[in-house]
Amino acid sequence: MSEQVTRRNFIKGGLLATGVTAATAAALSPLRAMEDFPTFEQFFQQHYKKLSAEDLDKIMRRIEQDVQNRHGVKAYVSDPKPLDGVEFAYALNLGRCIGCRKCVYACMKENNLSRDPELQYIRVLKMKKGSIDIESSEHDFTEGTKPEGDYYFMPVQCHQCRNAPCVKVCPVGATWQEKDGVVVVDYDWCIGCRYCEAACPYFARRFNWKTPQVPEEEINPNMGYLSNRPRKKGVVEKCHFCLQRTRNGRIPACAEVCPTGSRKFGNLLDPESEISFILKSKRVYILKEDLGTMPRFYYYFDK
Amino acid sequence: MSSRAREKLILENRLTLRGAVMGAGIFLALGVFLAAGGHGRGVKKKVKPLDPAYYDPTPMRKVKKALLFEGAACADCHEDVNPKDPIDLSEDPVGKGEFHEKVILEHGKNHRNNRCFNCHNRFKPGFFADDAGKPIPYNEVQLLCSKCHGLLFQDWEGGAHGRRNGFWDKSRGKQTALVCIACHDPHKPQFQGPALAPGPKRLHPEAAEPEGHP
Repeated sequence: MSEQVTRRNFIKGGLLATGVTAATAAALSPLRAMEDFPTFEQFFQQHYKKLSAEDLDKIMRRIEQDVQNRHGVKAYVSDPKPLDGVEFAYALNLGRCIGCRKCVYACMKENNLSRDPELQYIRVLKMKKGSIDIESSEHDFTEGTKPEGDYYFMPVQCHQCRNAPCVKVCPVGATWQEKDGVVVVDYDWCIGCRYCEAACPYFARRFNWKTPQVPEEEINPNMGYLSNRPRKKGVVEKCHFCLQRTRNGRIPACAEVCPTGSRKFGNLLDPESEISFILKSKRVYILKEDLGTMPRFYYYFDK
Repeated sequence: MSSRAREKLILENRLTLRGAVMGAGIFLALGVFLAAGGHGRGVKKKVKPLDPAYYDPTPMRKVKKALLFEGAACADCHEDVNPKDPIDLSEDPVGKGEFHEKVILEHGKNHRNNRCFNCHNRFKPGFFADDAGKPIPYNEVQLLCSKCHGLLFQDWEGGAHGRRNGFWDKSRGKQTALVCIACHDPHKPQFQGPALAPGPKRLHPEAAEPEGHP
């Protein structure tokens, strides 16, 4: 009878079992590289806007615990809400910027941006004088911190558009505009499709190709839920006007560090603010105004 | 039950058992394979910290508490100066010896602003002089500069020129404005910036743009 375990059958069965195991293992092998298996709660976490205050608080405590376990850093995660009667805006003096890139690094430090692979929200462009032509600009320039000669500098970051293309293209609603004008990302809801990155005309969005790496001693423990809390691999992030600072009344890190004072931040709705003064009294330039994105980021000139 | 049916049942049971053992074996092997995988690989990798100079917010110049020359207050040497007995203009401070010759005055187009007492007070050492010669205290140096740079002064007051630190919302904290001399050396006012920080790293540094790529 063939049901008898013969030598031939035994070997056949053994080979089949090994083959099935190997094939399944090969198919599942990407899981081996996965760094964070989500817990049940993480996997079924709701969208930011649907979270109750208690849920959000629980999640923020969990993130603090994660940071503690992973990096041994005691972090404080909060979620400052938009302020009433406040609309944030930014102005940058093109005539004064010397392209020293201090803003870039202050931003990296403040917002726990990945050092390896390197991720930066601000890109300083070295522009040819006489026009605003981004096509001919340089962004890996290695000399010249003085706007003399045939060039000037134009740092570009998220423009927090009123009519933001990145928000419109997001298929899952993981990015939206807050009441104070800042476009934010729910890092737990983002699926990493990178549509927003493609839609942004200002090259403001960055994708985490790998798990962000920040040295433990440089982690900024003051974290905002929608701003500089730890991000993971496969999600998009962007400049958020340092919400963890600005919603508590302080100015963003990039404006705090600028040695020339070219960077100005404030409340657009306050007629006494620096921003209002600049918009009233200076020549103002809006990058790619023709696209109708209506940014809250203005460039201005002295003369 | 016929003997044939019983044999069939035994055989079926044996086959099921064999399948179950095989399945369990496969899952065990997969479990071992996945568990041996590199979960959390790379998390412990040491990354280089940033150079603190790249994000140091210290202003380019240090503003002293009072007007000093090499650490000494003006009145330490110019002690008997008073409105009736001002600093003697006939004497050349540079020719006088090892004192003010170290001051290089390169202020204005073609260094046009070349008189000490355009800014310094001849009658009251340690103070600046306004248009009428009245003293301006050291901590209000912006009033001195506004004598010539009125438009810039307006910008500075409005917030368009110079750096401000602290809080944009003044109801929640203090906002400080850097004064003119926190960035500009009054004797040589052209702004001296910090060193250039390195540019962005490429994700794949080894991959060069192909030749002839537009």
